[in-house]
Amino acid sequence: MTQDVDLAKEKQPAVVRVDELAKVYTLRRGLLGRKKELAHALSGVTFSLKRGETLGIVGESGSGKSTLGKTILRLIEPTYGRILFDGVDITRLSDDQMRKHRRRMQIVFQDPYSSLNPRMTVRQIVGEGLELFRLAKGSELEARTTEMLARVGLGGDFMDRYPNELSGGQRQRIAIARALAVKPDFVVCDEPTSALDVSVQAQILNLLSEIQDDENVAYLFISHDLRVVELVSHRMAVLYLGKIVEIGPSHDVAERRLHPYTRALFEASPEIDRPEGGRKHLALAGEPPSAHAPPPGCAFHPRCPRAERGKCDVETPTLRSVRDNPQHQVACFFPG
Amino acid sequence: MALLDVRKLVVCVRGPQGTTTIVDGVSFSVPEESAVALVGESGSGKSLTAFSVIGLLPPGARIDRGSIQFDNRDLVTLRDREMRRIRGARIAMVFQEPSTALNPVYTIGSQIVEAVRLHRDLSSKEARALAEHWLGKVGMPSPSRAFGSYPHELSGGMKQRALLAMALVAQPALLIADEPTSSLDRTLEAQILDVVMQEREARKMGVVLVSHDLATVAEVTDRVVVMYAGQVVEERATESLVRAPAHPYTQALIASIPNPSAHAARKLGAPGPRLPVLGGAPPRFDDLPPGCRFAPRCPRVFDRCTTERPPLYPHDEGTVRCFLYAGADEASDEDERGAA
Repeated sequence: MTQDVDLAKEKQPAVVRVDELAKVYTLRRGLLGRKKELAHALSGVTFSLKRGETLGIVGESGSGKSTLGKTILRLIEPTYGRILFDGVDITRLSDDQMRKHRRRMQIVFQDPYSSLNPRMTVRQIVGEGLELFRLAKGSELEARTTEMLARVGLGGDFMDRYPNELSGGQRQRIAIARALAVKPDFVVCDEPTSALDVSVQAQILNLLSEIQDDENVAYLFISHDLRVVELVSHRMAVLYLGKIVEIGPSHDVAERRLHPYTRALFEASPEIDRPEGGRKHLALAGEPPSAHAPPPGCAFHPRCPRAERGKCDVETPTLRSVRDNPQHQVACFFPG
Repeated sequence: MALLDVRKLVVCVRGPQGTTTIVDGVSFSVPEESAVALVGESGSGKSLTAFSVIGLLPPGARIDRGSIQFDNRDLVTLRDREMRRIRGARIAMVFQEPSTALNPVYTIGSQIVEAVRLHRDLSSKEARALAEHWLGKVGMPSPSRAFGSYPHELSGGMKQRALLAMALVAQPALLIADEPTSSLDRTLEAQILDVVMQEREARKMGVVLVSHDLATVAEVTDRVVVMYAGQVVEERATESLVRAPAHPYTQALIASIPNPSAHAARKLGAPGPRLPVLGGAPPRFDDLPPGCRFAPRCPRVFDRCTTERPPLYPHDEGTVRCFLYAGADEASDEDERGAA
């Protein structure tokens, strides 16, 4: 692709923009809950997402991946920061005011076994949004529902089945049909293939790609699987204890692994054709510290092989552009 | 001689529609100090095979035929009491879901101490020391604190470490791990598998690793047994299987693993990536195809596959259940059922 085309895309307004987004939980501890502790589930998260773009979010459990997705949709209320949806600040909108935006932002969850109402038929599940947002009724509702099912590769004979009669892959197709039926501009895909077998995962990833190609929908693609994220997303962001530690074009992030945490995640990720010697021994020791007692300085320093005393345990690094690639940013004093 | 030798194992499950054969003539063996992977997708029978070895089949399931040789005995013929003596002491298991495998009302420490004293005559002080030693060995940052913790106070990764400590504390000859890391982050998975493989080397322990993820097992096992619809379809050395999978199903499994380096970087407005896809779904056990069980989905299917059941043919110091490898060789004699 030429640079001109890239520049033209550059001018496209962002469909989603988040500015310094933060979510702080207050935990009550001690006798009678008198002691308060703050847990920063997200802090200072800033990025924008264009139409037709996929931003991948990776990190270990507890890194804030899911919290981020749900906060953007305001399924979780942000504590600080702003969320702009198609240029409109939706951060403080009332439920009523949110309603007209809700149709355009959808979510697909990890576990298709618990995210579909077991008492509803496939017809009701997929058609619910269309009815709720008054997009179709009567014979048109029927036609649109059938069309959506066909879109996700399921025949009309699935219409009157219940979720418990379906396999995991079929349920995830239904969840995707439900989310996409209302023609959203933005979909949060929260580990959409993690509960599925690899062969079914490939089918679902292809389906999400096809839909994006046709509808120009933007995805926030959350996964703990780096290979999947690198494959499907244009850009990826690495989250550690609620903060972005590296963000940039997926290929660049995967290839250069500038943040030591990014490097550790990639080294822990299994590769079927790793040249020799198998998996690197203990790419990363321990587990992330808890969000309500984050270490001082860089939150990663206790696990970091490159941490320097007097620097990393004192000062907090901020996201800075890499010299030769302004798109690629990393929060580390000693990147590379 | 192999540490574990499973021969022509058949496991049936009783359901409302009668009895169904889920594991159909599975054979494999685990030599001392070797790690063998049982790989397959949901419903392939890999977990039931593993549970058979340790005598923990779910209600309704039972071993119908076959033998499981271990310690010069056939585990299939043992009474419950005898099996209990082997379980935990000589064969230990780590489960997929650590929260359900731990008792919520006892501390981690007391559960490990119980496991130790069941099989070894130690004072409670000695048992505690041993438990803490193992908690440290599996990577618990503070073993004495973990000892006094209840399961709900630990993260998923910590629980899995505790379970692993409990399994290893009796120094079993064989460890069976059923998807031990699929609910964990990759960073934790690497740590847990590392501990298992160190133990294997240190004590010549045999390992059976059950997984749906070929990429995970590829790095740590010596041999892979690929299962499909209750049968072994390929059994070979891990390295050569991964490099040159023989069975069309194994080939499809490997092709569907996302491999970003095979795709160009994504550009806005350009079509997204497409992965090679295996169409269809595995057959139902009550409605198996007349020929090869994989035939309805197989990209290389030919006439014979739809009418005749393929036996296991020898291939590259292993076996493969596919007519493409029929050649001049006789079918492996292991498999009269498949050939019947």
